[in-house]
Amino acid sequence: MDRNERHTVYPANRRTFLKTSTAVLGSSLLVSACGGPSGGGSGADGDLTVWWPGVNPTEQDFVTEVLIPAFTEKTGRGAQATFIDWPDMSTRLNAGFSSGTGPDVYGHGPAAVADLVQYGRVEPLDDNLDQLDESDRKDLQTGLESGLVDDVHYLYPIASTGRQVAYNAEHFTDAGLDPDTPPTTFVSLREAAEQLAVHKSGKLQRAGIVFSAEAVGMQQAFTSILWAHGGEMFSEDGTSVLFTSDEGVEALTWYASLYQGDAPVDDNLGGTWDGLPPAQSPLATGDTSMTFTDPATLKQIMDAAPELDLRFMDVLAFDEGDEPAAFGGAATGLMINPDSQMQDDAWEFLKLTGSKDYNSMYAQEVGIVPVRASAIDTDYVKASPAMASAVANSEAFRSNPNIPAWTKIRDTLAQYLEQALNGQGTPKEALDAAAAEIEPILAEGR
Amino acid sequence: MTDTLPIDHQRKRRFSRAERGRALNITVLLIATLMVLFPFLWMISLAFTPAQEAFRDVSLWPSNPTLENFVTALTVGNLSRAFVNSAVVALVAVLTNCLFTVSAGYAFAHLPFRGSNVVFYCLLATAAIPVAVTLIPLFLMASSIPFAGGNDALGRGGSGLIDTLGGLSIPYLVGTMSIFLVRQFFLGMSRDLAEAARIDGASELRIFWSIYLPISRPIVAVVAIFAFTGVWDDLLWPLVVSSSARSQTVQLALTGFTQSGNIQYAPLMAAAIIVTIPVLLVFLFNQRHFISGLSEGAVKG
Amino acid sequence: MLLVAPAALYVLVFQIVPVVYGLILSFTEYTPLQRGAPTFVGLQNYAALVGDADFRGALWVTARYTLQVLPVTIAIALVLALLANRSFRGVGIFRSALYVPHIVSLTAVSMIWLWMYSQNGLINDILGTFNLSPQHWLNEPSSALNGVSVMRIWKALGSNMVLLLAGLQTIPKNLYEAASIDGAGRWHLFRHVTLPGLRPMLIYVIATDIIYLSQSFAEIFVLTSGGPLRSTTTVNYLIYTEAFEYSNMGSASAMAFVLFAFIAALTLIALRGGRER
Repeated sequence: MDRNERHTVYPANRRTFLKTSTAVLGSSLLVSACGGPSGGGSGADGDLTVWWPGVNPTEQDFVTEVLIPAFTEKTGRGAQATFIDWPDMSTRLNAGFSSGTGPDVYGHGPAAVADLVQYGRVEPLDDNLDQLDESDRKDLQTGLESGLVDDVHYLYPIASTGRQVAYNAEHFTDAGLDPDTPPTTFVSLREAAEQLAVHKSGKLQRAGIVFSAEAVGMQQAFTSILWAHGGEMFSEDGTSVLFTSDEGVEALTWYASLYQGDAPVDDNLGGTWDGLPPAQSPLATGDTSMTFTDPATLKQIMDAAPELDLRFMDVLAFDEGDEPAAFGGAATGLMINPDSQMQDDAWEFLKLTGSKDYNSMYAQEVGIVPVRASAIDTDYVKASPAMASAVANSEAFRSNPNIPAWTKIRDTLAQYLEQALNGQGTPKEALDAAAAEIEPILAEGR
Repeated sequence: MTDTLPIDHQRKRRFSRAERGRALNITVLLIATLMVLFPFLWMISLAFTPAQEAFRDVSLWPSNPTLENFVTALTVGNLSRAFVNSAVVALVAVLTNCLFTVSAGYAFAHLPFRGSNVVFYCLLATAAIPVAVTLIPLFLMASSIPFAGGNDALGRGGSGLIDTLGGLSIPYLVGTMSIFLVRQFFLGMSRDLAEAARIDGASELRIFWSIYLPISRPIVAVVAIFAFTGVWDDLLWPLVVSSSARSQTVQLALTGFTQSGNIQYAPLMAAAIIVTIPVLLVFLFNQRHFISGLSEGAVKG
Repeated sequence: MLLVAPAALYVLVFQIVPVVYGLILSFTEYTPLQRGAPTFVGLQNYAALVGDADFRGALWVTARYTLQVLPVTIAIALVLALLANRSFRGVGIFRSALYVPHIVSLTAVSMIWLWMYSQNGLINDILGTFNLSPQHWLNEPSSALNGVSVMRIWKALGSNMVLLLAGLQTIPKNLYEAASIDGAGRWHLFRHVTLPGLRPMLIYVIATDIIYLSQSFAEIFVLTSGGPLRSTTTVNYLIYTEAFEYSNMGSASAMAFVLFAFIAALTLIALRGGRER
């Protein structure tokens, strides 16, 4: 190496040293400057910490600019909200609880409640609920039932949901069906779907109906059909499987007949359109005449395709003589951490969020179904046919069973349902195999 | 600048052939680039489509182009603050990575010590363990850093580095794969220079600083790019460590537009494009160091 | 030693310690939701995996996915790196454009891909112009993994290209000069100068691709959620579900260490193969 080269090397050297010192200084500064308390694992004097189940910017604005100021006015206490999309909530709770930095109040879907109860991470709400007016409780009833674990209430509902069949009225007219008197049972729904389906050279060109085929969607559809036929998922004490009953087999046979056999009416097996824009959902593109969906999604599809006359059927029974029933109830709710030192204020926060005025405002901001049956007279619900239908049907909605390890049980069931829908084995075989795998999980949870 | 392929300089009579080869080269590159960019072009198109029309009329050129989504992306939500946070953490990670991984990678390649292979494979092994498993322990460590966030000397009592930029940067400071990368880079280099300098009595540190570091510009550039991209893209760690707007990162801010069941497509695309730009600039700035034949001088010297 | 110490110390504290913690958890039953300490269960978590058909299926999917994405990605990236390894005006634009897929937000761009793959999507439109019938790309167990693979190759091209580009810089220019004076053709140059010179970097690219591809999760989560009929359920997908959906850290950790052994074996085979050549 000659001198000239060495000469050019040194400046690079100095730059690197500069980099070093900046980096060291920078990181130590960061550590000291930003090392303030996070507000998690609150003391008795600080703000109420809330892990809110939603991240939508308009939702964040509603919570920080409307809800929390109202809470502070009422209780004199501040509140800090962290916004977390509900599928991420479990991850977040796991981390928080593992290190003792959990929030005072957090939101989640009912599917997680039984596990949280099992590990003592949720405060029972019954003492507080007992102090509510009878009419108030009745107004919230469907949602409150979603948070029942062994007859104790744990979840205060803030948003509702339900599964109904949405349909394209124009397709009905074209197929010679009356859009004003849509099917009321799954059996007649199947006949309508066959009339609506359009075939071209042996292939389905337009589906009669489509069901979402991801795991959660398949379980919710099957359970809805089962309930609509008077069947049950599990025994009351949650120790044995009941979905292998005749009703269960008939429900799954009906479900699988959408895809298998002589006259399939659904060509979306394996398809999920959760990530697809509403404008591209099969109902909006005219690739299907009916779809089994929830009110928030239908509302988005209607907004994206305003030219279509889309409507909701009332919740279906399986056959004449059955009672209508479907998956639904609370979509999300709030829970109180038993370790919180602000139990009273936490309850005030729950009550405020679920109060008629604030809950309607929240539902409108986010585009979801409000929890109260009385919300039927609010302008928001009146203006949206999808929401109005869901609120009107609220008594027919039931929540999934609240049993420990539910998410695992749900996914296991879905796995076997999918096999039956694909024609791998009979519905009876699929349900028996699912039961064999689920029963040990039930036993472990008790 | 001229084509640096040696053929051009050596054989003037093949000039026209080389010229044709170069045109072909650029054409193939152009076609490949357009194909690769295709999904991205759709993102740009959507970002300029009015929010309520997104995905309705599907065409690459929006019929009513608008800037509203960019306005939404920048004003609604927390993107600008998140930008600053991500940039600070990313720059710290770039500096620490360039410093520590380059020196460590060099040592593993040219100065093997007793057991250095064992140490090296241990480093490497940590990259083959899914984050799902190390997330919670790392979180526990971040929350119990002594003297931080109201913690005592044993790391108890407070929240440690949770919800701070310091906590956010923990997993990114030294990339094990970058150490491996630098090692491989130096393995591909001749050791003659070092031998010569050693005979001249230069210390190992000096050999590294003054001989090898200057010619390792391409790899330092890659380490910097990867460190920056790694911080910028991560969602899982910020998700558990950040609890408030003041420590939110860009990917967390983006989730505001992707709420499950209520995705806001057009503003999301606008936000995603805005978020891509800084990384692109970092890349553009660093890629200048990939100049063909850079090591020529080093070997000749 | 001094040069290694800071990095080694950091990795020890913030990377090895969590891994060891995870290893310990793999012999326990533990959910972060519980208040007490983990319960030691010995090899139970590992034993449960032996008879687990889902886990075996996921290992198979992971292997197939890794082995089909890896060669295609590297081959395309190598061609692009060679093409972009010239200095002409604007080459930086090409290099940056090719790197874009790697940096663009996965959630955002996955929606474009979902739409491209959908029934009325672009790919079916293109097929339609050739009078081919539309396919449900991500809905069929036979094509879903390939659909995900294409997106992964697209996403990984840029970083692989950058690495190979950096590797090309280490090849001394005078080797090319010497060889071309000897009258070597382009293929000969590539075979006897470029490839040997690129070997350390190729080894790196192959090893890291194996390590990262075997841990694939994100692109599957956004495109297919592991379905249909588990045809895209990778091991890391199972680990995520087990850890964050079911909160079973013990069995998730056990899966992670089996996956680790799998990755180590695959990487060693690849490196061995590389050495012999």
